[in-house]
Amino acid sequence: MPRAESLYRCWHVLWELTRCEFKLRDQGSVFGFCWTLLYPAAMFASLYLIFGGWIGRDVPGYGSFLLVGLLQWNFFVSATSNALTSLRRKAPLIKNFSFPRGLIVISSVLVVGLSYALEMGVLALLLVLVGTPVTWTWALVPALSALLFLWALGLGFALALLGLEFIDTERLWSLGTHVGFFATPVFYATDALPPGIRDWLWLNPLAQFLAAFRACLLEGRPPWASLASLALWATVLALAGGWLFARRSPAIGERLR
Amino acid sequence: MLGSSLEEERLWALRGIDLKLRRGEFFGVIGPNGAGKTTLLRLLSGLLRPSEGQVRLGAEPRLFFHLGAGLHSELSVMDNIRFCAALLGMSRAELSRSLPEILEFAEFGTLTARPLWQLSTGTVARLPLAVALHCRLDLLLVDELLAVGDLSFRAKCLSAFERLKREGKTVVVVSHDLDWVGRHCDRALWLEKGRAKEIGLSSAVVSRLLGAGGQDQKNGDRPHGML
Repeated sequence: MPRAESLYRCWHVLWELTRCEFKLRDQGSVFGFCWTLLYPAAMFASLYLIFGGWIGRDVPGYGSFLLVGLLQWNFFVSATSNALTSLRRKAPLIKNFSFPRGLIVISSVLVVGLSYALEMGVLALLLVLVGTPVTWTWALVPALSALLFLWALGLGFALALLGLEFIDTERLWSLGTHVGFFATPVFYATDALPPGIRDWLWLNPLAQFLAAFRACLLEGRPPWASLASLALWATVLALAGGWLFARRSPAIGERLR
Repeated sequence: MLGSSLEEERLWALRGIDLKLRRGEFFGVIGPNGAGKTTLLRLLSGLLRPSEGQVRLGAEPRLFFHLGAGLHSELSVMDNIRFCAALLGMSRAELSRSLPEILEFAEFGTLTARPLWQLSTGTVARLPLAVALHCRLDLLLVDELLAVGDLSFRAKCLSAFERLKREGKTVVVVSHDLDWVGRHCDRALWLEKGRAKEIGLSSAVVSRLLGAGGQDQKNGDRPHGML
């Protein structure tokens, strides 16, 4: 198959996988597509009510601060969890059709990415409504989002393979992300932490992502240094995940029960 | 000790199969449930790799079908046709050109907006096959799809398979319908417990199987001539 035709075929399959999964997500539910916004809104409301008058007291514009962090965190957790179970969920497709298996993982992250894009659009509107100044650094946000996507995808490739080999991976990842929520400055500012813990926190790439998003959207400050290191992290992780997945890909059909 | 006992209990889905398919051949695979028929098709399609031995395939693209082939029951007929076509390597333009024929072949009529779960199993089973028959393909592997089609659909399938044969394409059909295999296939393979009992002219292989009491072993509830 010529390269262009093969690429077109991959794109076409990816599009159809994503389109069908997106349609299926809210199929049959009463609120349908509204769930995309209802879930983060409910989580924001509860965290704001609990922490707004306490941890959030020392953070200027705590509502915006919390919302920016929460959306990135939600995307990361949903995308990686969706990728983790993707191969098992799509077992009938893998057993019946011959196409690059990696497209299943990419589409599982992409489908969460579509909801995330909508949420980010609503976030931008809300920020304008509460009087946050719109600065040129907002233009860096799509690039940051793309890096976060790549980062989740790289991890998603590895998790999908692990999820296929060990059924416990799903529960372990769920536990890990629950712990990770508290180890990531989603609802608190790093300044509030003791210096010893603060230094360790920067080893968490998501903490860097959150700081970079907040710098762009809330402070009007370009996070050049962290942007460069995040770009490196995301590229290395996506390439490593993709490479690992490609190596293990021929055995996927045999691993499915 | 443990190793040897595990070795003894090791279950081989297929063992010692030596088979060469010819271009433009209509080939049947028969045998009781658990004989390894579907595994053979998966190996031929490249979806599975053999643990031992090798499968050499010159045909590309090759398609494998069996019931419920990854369709989405919550989505409409049209959504599923688009999905299937993409997975089978059909471009949007090719699908647009073939769509009237696909709809006519599968007899979907006015059902295109209906979700699959509202349709009968037989109607749903037509969908991937109808799309596949309108794709560019060299090798078609069909797993027990004919069991759910009504007579008119089976006749349509047969004429479509004959057309593929004339075009030099190879069709491999797994079926429990021995009469059908004996009448329409060129050659057949009789599988039992993962081993080839016989390969040869389909009518001869089917007679041997029936002669061995094939129709009443393990599947006593099937009608005459069905395994």
